Amino acid sequence: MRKAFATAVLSVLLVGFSGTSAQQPTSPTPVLTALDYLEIEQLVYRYGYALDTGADNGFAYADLYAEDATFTGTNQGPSGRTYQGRERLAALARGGKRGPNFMSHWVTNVVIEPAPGGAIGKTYVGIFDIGNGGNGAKSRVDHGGLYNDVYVKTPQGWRFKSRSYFESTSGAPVQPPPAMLTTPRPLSASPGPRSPNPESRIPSLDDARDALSDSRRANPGTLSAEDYIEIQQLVARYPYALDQNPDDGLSYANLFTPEAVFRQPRTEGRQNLATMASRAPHGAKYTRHFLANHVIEAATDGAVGKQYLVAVDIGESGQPSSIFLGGHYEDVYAKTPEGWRFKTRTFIASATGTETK
Amino acid sequence: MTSGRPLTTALGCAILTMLALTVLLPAQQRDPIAARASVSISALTALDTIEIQQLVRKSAWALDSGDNYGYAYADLFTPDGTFVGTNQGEGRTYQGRDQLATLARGGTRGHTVQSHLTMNHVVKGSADGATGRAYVVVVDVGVVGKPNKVNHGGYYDDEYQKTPQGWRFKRRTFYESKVDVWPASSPRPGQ
Repeated sequence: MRKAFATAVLSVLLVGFSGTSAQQPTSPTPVLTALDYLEIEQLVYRYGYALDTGADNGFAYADLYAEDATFTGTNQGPSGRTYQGRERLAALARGGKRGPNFMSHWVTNVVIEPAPGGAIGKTYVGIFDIGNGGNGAKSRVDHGGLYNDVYVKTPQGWRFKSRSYFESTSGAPVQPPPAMLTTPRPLSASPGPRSPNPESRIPSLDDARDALSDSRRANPGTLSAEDYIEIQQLVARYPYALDQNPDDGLSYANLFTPEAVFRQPRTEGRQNLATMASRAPHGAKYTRHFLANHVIEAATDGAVGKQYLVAVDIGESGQPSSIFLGGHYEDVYAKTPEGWRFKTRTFIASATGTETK
Repeated sequence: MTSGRPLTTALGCAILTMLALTVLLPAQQRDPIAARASVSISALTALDTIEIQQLVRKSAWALDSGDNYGYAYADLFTPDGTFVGTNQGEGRTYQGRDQLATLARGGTRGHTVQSHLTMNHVVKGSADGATGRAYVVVVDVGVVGKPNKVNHGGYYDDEYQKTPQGWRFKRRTFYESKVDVWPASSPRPGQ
């Protein structure tokens, strides 16, 4: 590793001194496989849990980063603050409101692109302040913003090489372009006036090259890309079956295996599940259950997973909206001849735990 | 038209067959939802699904940022792509690059505007490409003069088409959330 790094440094120097080439050596841009996309997405979703729970005294959070990786909170102080190294990163996920069941960071809109030495990405984060015990009346939208990421593939799997948080702020109105209707600009053309571009600084990835070439297939357990996607789709169908409920709970019940158990309230079997679904508010255009941070892991006889839930009562006809409930689901999935199904699904309301030190 | 009568008869037969199937199928299939799901997902590869997921996520970024005068948003649609906002008056349709770009213009936009949180994205293969749905909750966060709160929400009903440039929206329709049935046993907001 050290030797390879020295070689890399040497080659940079040689090219620099040769004067025959103006090109800088760059790390190769990998082709991302379906599993690469899915594993990076899993990393991004694990971030929410690690930060909100403070698991392992904050080290669950720190261990999502590669060695020497950085987190920058651009909202901390006038010029932002950067944390580097395992101890400092762990300290970020310690103290304050946390707990094994505390949910706050809803991460969505994860966009991933291959980049020299690995991949880059950006995500939204909605930060909700959920009342203890999932209490909707005491819940509110706290704040939110975006993360700008650089990912690197290590022998242990994809990790953050750098992550920067930018707080959401009011933007400026976008003006029509000059002569809009006659010469529309192509997508790649330089954009018009905009607020400060958080993407302008992407750290060098030269030393990520070694880790990338050494990396093995980081496939946790035995789930294929198709398995991940079908489990994602199973969970994505859940809110439609519950909120829109077009068929007296049949669609809802069919997301479960025949002997499945839902908690709470403990509900067993498809008939009882269908009845439970039909006792919840529903409508052909109703949206209430918003799921995020879907983490999936292979297990001995199938897969397990978890995801955040915020149930929002969207105000109709301009009426104010409110949060009804917040927390997370813990699932066991089984692969059946009909596809992946819930074997058990447990809802746990958000609650702060004992403060970690 | 001599062929009028046989055509009518054939059509009648077809309609009757369809009606019969509609009645018979649910009785024959114990798990109609499961059967439907396994057929549709197999039509798309893992990478197709991932690219469609990326398309839907990029649309939120493009809409909130207003990048490239709104054309970053417009360019996620096919050239004849259409957006329908059913919540705009009696419903309003935008078609073509210039009209779509105006959707991502005006108002407050920028690279640090994060407003459209899309979730629960379901994707299915279809004869022409793929269809999908995604929930969206629109939040006001960091807007000067407004408290941080949920503004509104609902879902998108999408048709996707694979073009030489990748997957694009052929049609996207937004529906605002609306409840039809609220059982008395379920607590109402504010209760």
